[in-house]
Amino acid sequence: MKTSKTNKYLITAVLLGIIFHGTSMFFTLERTYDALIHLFFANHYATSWFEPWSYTWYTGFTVMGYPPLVHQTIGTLSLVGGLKFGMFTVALLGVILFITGVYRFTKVLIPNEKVAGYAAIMAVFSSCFVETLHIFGQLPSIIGISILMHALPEIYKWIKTGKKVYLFKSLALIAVTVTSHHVTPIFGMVFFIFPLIGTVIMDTSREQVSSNRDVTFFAFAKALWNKLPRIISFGICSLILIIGCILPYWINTKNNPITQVPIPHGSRDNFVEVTSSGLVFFIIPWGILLLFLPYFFYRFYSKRLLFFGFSFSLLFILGTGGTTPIPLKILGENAFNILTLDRFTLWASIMALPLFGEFCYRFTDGDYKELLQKKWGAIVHRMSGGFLAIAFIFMAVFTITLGKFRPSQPDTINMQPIVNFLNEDDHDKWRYLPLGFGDQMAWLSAQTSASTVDGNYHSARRLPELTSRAVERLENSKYRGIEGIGSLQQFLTVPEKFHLKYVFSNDKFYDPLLYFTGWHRLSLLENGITVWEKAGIAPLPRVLPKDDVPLFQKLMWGIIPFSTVVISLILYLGTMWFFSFKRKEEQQLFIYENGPETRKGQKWLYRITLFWIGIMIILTAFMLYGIYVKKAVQLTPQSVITAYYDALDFKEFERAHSYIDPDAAKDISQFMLEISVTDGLLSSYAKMDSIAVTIIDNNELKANAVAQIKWITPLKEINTNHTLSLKKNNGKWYIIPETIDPDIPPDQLMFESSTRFYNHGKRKITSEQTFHEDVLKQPVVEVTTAKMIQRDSTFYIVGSIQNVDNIPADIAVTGALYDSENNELARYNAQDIVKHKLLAKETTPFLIHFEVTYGEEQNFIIPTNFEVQVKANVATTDLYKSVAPAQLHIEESRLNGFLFNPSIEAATIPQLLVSYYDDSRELIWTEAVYIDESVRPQRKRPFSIPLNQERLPVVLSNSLKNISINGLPNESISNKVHPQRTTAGDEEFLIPVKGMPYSFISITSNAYVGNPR
Amino acid sequence: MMKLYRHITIFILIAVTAILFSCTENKAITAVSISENDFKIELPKDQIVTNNGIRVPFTTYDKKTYSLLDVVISGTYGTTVLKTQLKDEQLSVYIPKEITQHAGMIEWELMAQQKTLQKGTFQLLPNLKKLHAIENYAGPRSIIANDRDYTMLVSIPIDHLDNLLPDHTPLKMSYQFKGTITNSNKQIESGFAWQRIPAPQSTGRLITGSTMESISSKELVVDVFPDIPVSFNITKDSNHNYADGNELITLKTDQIKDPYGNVLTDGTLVTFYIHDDLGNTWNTTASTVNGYAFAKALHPQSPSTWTVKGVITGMVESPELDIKFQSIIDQIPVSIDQNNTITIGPLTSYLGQIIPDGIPVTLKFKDQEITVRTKNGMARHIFDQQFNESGNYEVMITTLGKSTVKRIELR
Repeated sequence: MKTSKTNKYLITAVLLGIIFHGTSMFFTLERTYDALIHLFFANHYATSWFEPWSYTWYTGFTVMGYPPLVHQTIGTLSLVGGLKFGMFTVALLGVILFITGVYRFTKVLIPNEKVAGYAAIMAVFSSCFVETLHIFGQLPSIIGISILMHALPEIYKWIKTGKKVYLFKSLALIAVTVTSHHVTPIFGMVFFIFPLIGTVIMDTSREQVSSNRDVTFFAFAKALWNKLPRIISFGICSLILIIGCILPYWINTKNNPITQVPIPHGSRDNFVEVTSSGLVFFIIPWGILLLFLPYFFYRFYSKRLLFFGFSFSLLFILGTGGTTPIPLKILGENAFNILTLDRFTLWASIMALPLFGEFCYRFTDGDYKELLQKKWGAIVHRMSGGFLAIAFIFMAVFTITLGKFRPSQPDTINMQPIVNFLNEDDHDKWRYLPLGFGDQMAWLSAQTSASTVDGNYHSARRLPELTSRAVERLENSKYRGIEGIGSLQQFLTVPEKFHLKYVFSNDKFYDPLLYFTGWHRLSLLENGITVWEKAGIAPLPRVLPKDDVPLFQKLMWGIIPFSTVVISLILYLGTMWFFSFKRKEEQQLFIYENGPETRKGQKWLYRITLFWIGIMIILTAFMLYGIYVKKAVQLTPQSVITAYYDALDFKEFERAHSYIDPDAAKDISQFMLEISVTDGLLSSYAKMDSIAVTIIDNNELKANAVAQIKWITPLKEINTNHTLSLKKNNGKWYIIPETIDPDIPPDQLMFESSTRFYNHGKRKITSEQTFHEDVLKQPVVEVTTAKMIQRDSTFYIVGSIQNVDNIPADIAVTGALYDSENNELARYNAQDIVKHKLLAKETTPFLIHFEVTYGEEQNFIIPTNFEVQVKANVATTDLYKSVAPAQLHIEESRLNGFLFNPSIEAATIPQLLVSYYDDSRELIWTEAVYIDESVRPQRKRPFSIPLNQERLPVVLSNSLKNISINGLPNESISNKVHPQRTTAGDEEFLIPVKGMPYSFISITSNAYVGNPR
Repeated sequence: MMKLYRHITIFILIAVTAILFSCTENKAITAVSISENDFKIELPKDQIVTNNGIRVPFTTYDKKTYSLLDVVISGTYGTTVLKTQLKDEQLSVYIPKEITQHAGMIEWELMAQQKTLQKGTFQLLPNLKKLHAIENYAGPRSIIANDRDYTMLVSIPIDHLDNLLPDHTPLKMSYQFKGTITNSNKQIESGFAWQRIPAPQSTGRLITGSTMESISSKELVVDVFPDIPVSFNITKDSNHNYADGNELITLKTDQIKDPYGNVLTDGTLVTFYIHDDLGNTWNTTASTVNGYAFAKALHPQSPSTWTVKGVITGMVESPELDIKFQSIIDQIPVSIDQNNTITIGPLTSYLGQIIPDGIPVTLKFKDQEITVRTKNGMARHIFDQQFNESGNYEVMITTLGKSTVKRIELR
């Protein structure tokens, strides 16, 4: 006689879960992909509960794009102990709900207390759960599926018994699920509730007949007919809840449909081709469960669980992503590209947990134990059990520490200095942009009132600059190649459009791009983040536009989610109260005989499982061998070259040195020294994109090879060709190092005197508006030529600008094109083809490139008019002008020469603006050429640039009429400041060219200094 | 949290009071009709602005019906409706300080039952006895020393209540440049006085200020920058004139000035364009310090003649300067040994010393051009048998502007 109903396995599982996840989450959760995003949303609710509009991301977006319950819960808890306290509390709650949820779900599938207890314990260490919580940080998803599992027994009971209390309970839980995660109940309906209904009908029809064999299709249909009203009433009610509880969400989805270009996600990859995605989205979530797939299928396709079998198979297939074409066909193009498919694997593995629990019970306590001990002997059985347990827990531990081995996030950034910077002197009146922050950008956003153009919930993006490209975030755009960089460039080139004034750079990769688009460094914060600033950006207006929603939606959004929780709690407390008095034994709801005792087909199952495990072991061995082969790269010349450049790319110089011929007498210190003196775009700011190695001649001991490498840099794609010699030594291939340039600079000690500038800004320490006497006059610059030109179907404005003032200027050049009726066709800024910082009397060419996009019904329009606006502000930094082109001569359409740096600062990335002129010495084209390597002080850097051989562009308009400088007409400036312009320098500046479409070229040099003194 | 409680408490109190008030019955006197003669205001005179408000008494009034009166007041600050007050048996209307501290015309109108009983206007005048400050504005904040440019000084004196002073109030506007003080007496018009200051013809700081009776403005400073530069000369400075490719030559300007003899601002960019007699182009830039610009360039590696010009684009250029570089070697020693190796060197310089490391030596061989660099005056190249069939070949060796042709037999 039982005295207590407490299941000691369940208690153990919950305690284990709290200890295991509760301690580890403090080290993992903050570094997950999603947790900080939820934290950001939570902060929104904590500060403005009923206002769905957030200005913080994407120049404003609505939080009605994500169900609010979890965020609101964290937000509420944050009032007690801060945001992170809220997040950890909810995560812990999620752990408990998940473990108990698996327990209750198991009791529906296999009504056995012990099996359910085992399943609960397995749930604690299940690698899919560990991954979802500790790697992905998907809190709402976890809470959603856990509550859904809690709802399943209630649904079962409602359909079986028809007692209304069960209906209410199940509906209450469904409402909680909906308000915490919208996708879970929709797909949960299909994958969990439908098969559950099938199981109920199956049980009912089984009760009508005497044996399993008699459950025919006819009997099943009859039972279904009987239960149909209950099923329909439940279905309708839950549909109303799914729509009603988050009605504002659906309205928002309808009003702002997701029309963006799909963003690639690893779960849609072909797992065989992209093995890293296969690991993260298939191997890890399944883990040890993979070994028992035959058992799961065997059990699921037993008569009672047949419908779960269908569901499980479907989930399993959908979870394989792009490996097979089936998921794409099932879901359709649209859904396939919006959904992340990892959730199907998560659900499939959760569905398998009860059966895994059952297997473990049978293996350790039940019939399999006897069977196997008889077959294998006690020791082997115990050893294999121990092995399984260790493997299972190892998988969990491996998953939890995955973030440590393969860091998916940059190191934790101390946000306080950034928050302080934004709070200081009204810096939060402008937008900011973090670069290289990873998902920690959400944590920064949660801490500051300043807003950013970027964001971390890409479904909510609204700016066409963002939605038209498959770029998840600007912050990590370098991982999206040229497309990502292009998107970032748009924001950095036209920052005034977004009131974007500050960039926090945590990745020096983006620094050259910032420099060449006209930004300058402000300071290095204590946490190592560089602050970049753009001059002349207007602060955000006091009132910003927003998409308002009716009051009823705001009230629904703020009130319903919490009410669902309160109602469920009341319902559950009510039953607890009821039970504590009645002490009524929960009755067995169904006949259960197809369980652990059945022997049918066991022999086959045993064989298939052994065979399957064998295959799995072979596959694992194969994978391990693959890893070994990858490590032993010196077996072929190709692989050693690939490995060498890979090591250089990841700055693993010791590894790179190990591939260098040991006979070349280049020890590591010499090798490192040579590396340390190389700098520039290629060696410091490039990411290797692809490498192709061609062996040109090869014998037993020697080989020559050409490595063609494509590099992604913030400024352009670079293709390099390196010819390398290799030799074989002791069966290993080695690279023969190249000789270094023996050139030495003339002087040992150098002297340099130069003018430096400083602007106080506000001289009085006050946060009031800058005083009249502290506002500097904007420097006067003059546009000396400007033309609107057309090349193919693209339009440009080309021209030149001189700073005619006596102080250095920081210029921003905006161009606009108009049609014959003076409608604006396009507007853009000069990006990197201009020198943004000009000393007094300095001249620069500029080119503005317009990308006019035409709507479907729009015709190609040729602009007739153009306008140039130049904004100049006083510049005090980045006025480095020293790098000079030397010994320029043209040989067969190539411009050859070298750059010489006479100064004491290294020019990290030299840029040459090559301008082209027609035979009447009119400027008609300008392009930027970046030199791949740096020029160190007093050193030379030879270059050879192919000259543009395209036809001359068509000049559409050549006029200085519509040009304004700081809002004043260009003409008035030239009349007042410099009325008698001469041709001084023109003759010398132009280099004549023969046999080309153009007659002259000119070279203007500019350079990015990576480490200014 | 405390704040929140306080807000809630205040809100509840206000709500309760409002409810109570709305419940009290309003005993309106409606039946009485008021004639124009029942009420008369003592006509207010023009007076000086005050921040104490103004009380206007009634000369004739009726104690029973005065509550029906409305006084509409309209001033620079805005329009408002006031109620009369009976205090110590005297009926009066109180114009609040928000209205009376702004100078200008006040219109008033006494009304009852939609009828105007009496109306009039009076002036509020700025308080000339209690002046506060002169606000000065000068701009542009930097001008150019020539006869085209000027800056402007605007002075706005105000009284202690921030009111503009009346027209024709006298005021002294002054500026100082290089010790010379220029004063001018101006009169206020429409609230301000202004003055154009022509640019002086020398650079420096122009300091401006205004005074009026006891009050003064802040000091505002206008910088005077030099005008467009005029022609200058360039010179060179070098330790020797050998074309060794390893020595810096400094190109110098003399002090660059504008037409009035002002030295250009520090940081003005000067570009030196160099052409040599071999068809090569160089350019190098320098920014001025005290009008002088020093740019550095590397000596060429071939004997040649440079023609140098210093330029400030679109404004002025210097006369040309010719610089001749002479060769550091007379001949190229070459040796060829058995192993298909060609050795160039030792290359020695004008003192017989070894030339600096890293000098390129070009070998023209068949159709290819091979560049090797010297180390300790020597350069070496091995012709690979794999790519070259054995036989006799001609090799042209070029370095430091000299060339020589050698025959080589490859095995």
